[in-house]
Amino acid sequence: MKRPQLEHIVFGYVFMEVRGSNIQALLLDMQQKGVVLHDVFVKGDRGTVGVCLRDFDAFYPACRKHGVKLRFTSRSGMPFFIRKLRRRKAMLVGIALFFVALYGLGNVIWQVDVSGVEDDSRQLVIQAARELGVYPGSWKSKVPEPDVIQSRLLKKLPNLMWVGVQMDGSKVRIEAVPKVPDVQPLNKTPHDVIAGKPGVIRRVFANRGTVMVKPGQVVHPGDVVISGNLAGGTKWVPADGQVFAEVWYNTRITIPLQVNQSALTGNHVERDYLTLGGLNLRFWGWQQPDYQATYERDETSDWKLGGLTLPVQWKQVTLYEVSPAQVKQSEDDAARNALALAAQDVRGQMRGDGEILEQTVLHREVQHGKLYETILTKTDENIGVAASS
Amino acid sequence: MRTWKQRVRRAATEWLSLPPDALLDVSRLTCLDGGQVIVENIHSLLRVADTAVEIDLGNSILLLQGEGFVVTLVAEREVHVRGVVGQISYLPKKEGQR
Repeated sequence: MKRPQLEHIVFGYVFMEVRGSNIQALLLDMQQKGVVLHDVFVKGDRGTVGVCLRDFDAFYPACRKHGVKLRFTSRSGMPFFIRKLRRRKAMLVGIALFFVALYGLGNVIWQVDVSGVEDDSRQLVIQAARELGVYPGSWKSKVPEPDVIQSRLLKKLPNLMWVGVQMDGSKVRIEAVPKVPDVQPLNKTPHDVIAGKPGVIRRVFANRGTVMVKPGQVVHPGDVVISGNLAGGTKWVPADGQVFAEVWYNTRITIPLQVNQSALTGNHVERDYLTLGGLNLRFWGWQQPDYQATYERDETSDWKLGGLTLPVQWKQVTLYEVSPAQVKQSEDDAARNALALAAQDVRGQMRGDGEILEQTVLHREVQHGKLYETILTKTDENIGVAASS
Repeated sequence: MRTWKQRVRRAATEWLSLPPDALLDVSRLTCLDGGQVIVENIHSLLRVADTAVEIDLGNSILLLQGEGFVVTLVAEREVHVRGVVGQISYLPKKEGQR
């Protein structure tokens, strides 16, 4: 039930065995002098006494006076601990090293976070920050002030509207706001609307200008559809409107009826290597799977020390089992796919909104295990283009 | 023979209905569960042994008897004793002892 008191921890505490016929007199003497004793146990002319190290200078002469012999059984508290530490230099060095490492590692930037921009811009921001000296592993003291980084980043990346840099301990947060591209001003110079593609006019909606064509009329690229000429040449305006015409597209499609496809079965084994220069030391993963075909994926760590890539890296290799599979499709399926592909192709060529009116297979042939098709697609789309003149 | 000062103190204690140990120079013994004894306001520690502890309280002598006594604290005015207490007795002070 001995509870160490704060005084004993700070100033030290010694516990002794005492021997002598005058123990009672010693105790009385100490009590009268006001020296605090602890855990006094006396039996005959033997006993134990505990005393605070601070009071020992008063205790010891009294022992001599009363002819009491002492034997120390335990010492505790800070003074003894410090003396022990002095003897163990390595431990002191270790403690010092710990604090040095803690302080040193606390002064390193461990993470750079970029938020507010798309992935591709994020890479640019990270790259720009790296050029300014802000990257994981750089010293905080070498990094300029956040507002300096902000202005330099803005200068480096003209497509950003605003950049905010915040240092959070060992973490740097960069928040970027990209510029929104501004709206193109309307073309104010007088011009015509001409046909951009050959087609048969279906409907013309003119907002401004004189309509020069009739539904059913065939137009060729460059033909004026809506003229900017008003009132017989007295006034020229920028013509504007939508010209819907039927446009024909020819698409050639080739679809193989049989495809060799290798698929991952989901089975995989992992291997961990420690790479030393060019040497791979396998550390984990000794399983030898009996896969017929494998696909290997490596993932090597990027261990760095202050910007230098270490020669020692950890490599994780994953071997996936691959099962070769043949994907067959019937001629009908292939033809259906061909139509879908043709529609997709045509939609890519249409500008703006428009719709596919009709698809006709002009030619179909199966040769060398492939389906060849020529498909005519009729669309209804806006073919009007503002002429540059 | 009580001095005038002591008489005034006693009167003040009674009048203010204070516990007698607050102002009066009397000893106070606290015994916890027969295992721990705290004696305050003592004069001197006369004898310590494993079966008996003798304490001078000024006007009488306190004798604790029991087994395995360990005096956990000895201070100028206070003594803490741990052990199995069998008997607590107040003995009249012998002649010639202060």
